[in-house]
Amino acid sequence: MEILNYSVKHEKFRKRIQSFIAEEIIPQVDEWEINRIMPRSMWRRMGDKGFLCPGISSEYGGKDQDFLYDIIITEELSKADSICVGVGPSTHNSIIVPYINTFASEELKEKFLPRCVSGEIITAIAISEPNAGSDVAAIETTAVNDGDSVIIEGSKIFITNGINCDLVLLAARNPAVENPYKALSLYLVETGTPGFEKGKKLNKMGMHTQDTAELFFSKCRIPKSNMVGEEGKGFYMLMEKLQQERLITSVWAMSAAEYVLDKTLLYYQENSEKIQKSQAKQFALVEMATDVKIGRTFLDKLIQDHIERKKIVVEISMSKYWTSEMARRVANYSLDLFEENAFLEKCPVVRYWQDLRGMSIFAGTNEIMRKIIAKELNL
Amino acid sequence: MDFNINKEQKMYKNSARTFFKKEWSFDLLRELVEEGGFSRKLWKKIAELGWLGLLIDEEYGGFSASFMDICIIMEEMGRCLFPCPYLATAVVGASILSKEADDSIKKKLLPAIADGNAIITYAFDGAYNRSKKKYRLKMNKHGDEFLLNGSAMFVPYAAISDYIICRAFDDSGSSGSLFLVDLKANGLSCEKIPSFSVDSYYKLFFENVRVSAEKIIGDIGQGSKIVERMMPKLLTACCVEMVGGLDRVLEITVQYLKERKQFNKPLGALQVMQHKCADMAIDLSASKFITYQAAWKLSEGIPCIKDVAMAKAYTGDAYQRVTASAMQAHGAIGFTEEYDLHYYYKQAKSLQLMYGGGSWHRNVVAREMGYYSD
Repeated sequence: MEILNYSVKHEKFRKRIQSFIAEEIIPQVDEWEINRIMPRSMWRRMGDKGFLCPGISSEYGGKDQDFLYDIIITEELSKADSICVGVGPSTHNSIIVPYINTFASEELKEKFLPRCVSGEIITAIAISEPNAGSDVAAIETTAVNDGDSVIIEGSKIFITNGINCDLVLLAARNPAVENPYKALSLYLVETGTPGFEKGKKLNKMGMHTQDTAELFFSKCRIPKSNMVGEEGKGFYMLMEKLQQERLITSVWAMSAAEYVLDKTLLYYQENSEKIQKSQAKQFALVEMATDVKIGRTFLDKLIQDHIERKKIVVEISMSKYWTSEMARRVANYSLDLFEENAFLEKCPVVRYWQDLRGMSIFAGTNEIMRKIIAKELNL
Repeated sequence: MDFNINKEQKMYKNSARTFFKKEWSFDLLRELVEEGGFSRKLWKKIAELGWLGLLIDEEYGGFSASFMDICIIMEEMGRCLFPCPYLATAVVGASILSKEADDSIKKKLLPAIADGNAIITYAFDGAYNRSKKKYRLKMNKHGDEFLLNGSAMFVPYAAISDYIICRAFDDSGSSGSLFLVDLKANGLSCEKIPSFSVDSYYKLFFENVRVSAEKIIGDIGQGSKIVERMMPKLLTACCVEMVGGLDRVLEITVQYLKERKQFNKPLGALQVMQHKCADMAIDLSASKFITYQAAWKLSEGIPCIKDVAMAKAYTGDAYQRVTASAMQAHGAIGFTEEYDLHYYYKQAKSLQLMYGGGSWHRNVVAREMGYYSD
């Protein structure tokens, strides 16, 4: 029994993106890792090929495709020799643009969505700040109403697509509202708006292809019509969309684990002269394969539940923390199996091992996931 | 058994710590990692402090110190991730040459090592390729000399070393012979292996490299036995380096958790984070004991193959576990290159895998307990 209903069309799409990745992405990944960014031209290319924002309506230049297309794109790009080939585009496709699609005014949707689909606009979501990581309610960036405008003041850190972005979905608080849960609103800020500066690219120990940056807002004036959704409802909008964000994060982790396992099994089978085979290694590989199988079964069930619009806060939180920890475990054991060849940076697993370090931290730390589950279980 | 260091060793430890506080920083590490990973200026300074001659007899310009003494220095180096060929030169090179080389080599090289004027590296892995039926580094008799052909992998600091002690094999089925090769010899070239360790490793290529018979260390065919005698020191020194790093990582993490606030309180106020630190402290303590048990036995000349294997297996896993835990405790900032923690995380993984990973050393422990693999 298959959990997800992939049709022939879905499978054709998957094959198409796999070919694209093999021909156009993999030959360039090493360079992107050195330069620590994916070039904008690749975003356009993905847009041309129909790999961006598959779920957007044809009314806005999209293809009206179902959520399984988001999943296929996320899975395949995450296996393109680097997880962050998947992270940047699927954050745009399946995490940020859905906010605009669901909550933004018709005017904003017409203005921005077509170019989000084509890759002319790359989006970023700016929530985290130096003093507000896990504690989203502690956000200090302010948005002060001033007639037809809003003036933004503050800074954001660790922003995915921060250097490439043309459009930022920003969370900021109204300083006049005391209750932090009612003070947050979401706004769209375009690159080039006076008062909005991109800071330096943050050099990370892994996920090099992903351009992560600081963003600064100083007396940045935007039209009030750039507000997304209702004023003061920022927190609730974030909570609503977090289920999909954490699902996508689980897909990254799961895809990474599957990629690493495949590479390790291949290495093990092809290098019988080089490595010392042993029962202990066999069992380690078996345990990795079991973890991956169980994880995939759980994740596919959650994808289906999400498609059916079920509220699965507990399960998604479990999935986010479990898949990211499992993927790290698999990558860690894999390096042990590669033995001395592991710590050559050319080893296909090393990049994933470094990249996966971040997965238990972003999109909600794994400790926060456990807290959410504890609360839902009334513990 | 008393693993406590004596008064003199305590002074030594303090002076090493002061030296690194004054001379070393992670900004320097970042520069060095870009430039090739070695500071000759600092190498000379540690020579002046006498650290390079610890395992060399006074007769040859050293200090006739004990293995425990050198552990003091290695632990401080591991603590601050100081990249240099100390393990290769002052531990491996000094031990092998002192115990196994003939007098002329000892007179020439040991004082130079102690002074910081001769850097030694090594390559013991002859790795036999079963399908090609050949060893990685081969030796052939050529008149009065030998010709070395092939390659050696993971040679530490080859680009800045003066000599290499390498094991080569002939077709006799013997366990190889150790050669002392001048790295300026014709036919030698090296290529840096990109790695995530703070240390620099190279692939060394040998093309008809001529070595005289006098440069064989010990006797022909005795290579593996000599390496076996030296390995416990190499492995234990590596464990000591890991203990130093483990100690520092715990220190950094406890400090961070006291300072970083979210939800209006320091992260250290959360029980889960406290338990995380407790687990790290337990790992540190266990690693220290298991490592220094091996180090003490080595110092006393007590056979300790099982102790060394347990130390390497356990400490390697513990260092990796603790750095992973520390990274998680630090959240996003730990993932940035600006913060120093990622260097420890990567160094921990590389030391866990170098010189045999957990599985390899568990095999050794099992063998010492009387078990043999299928």
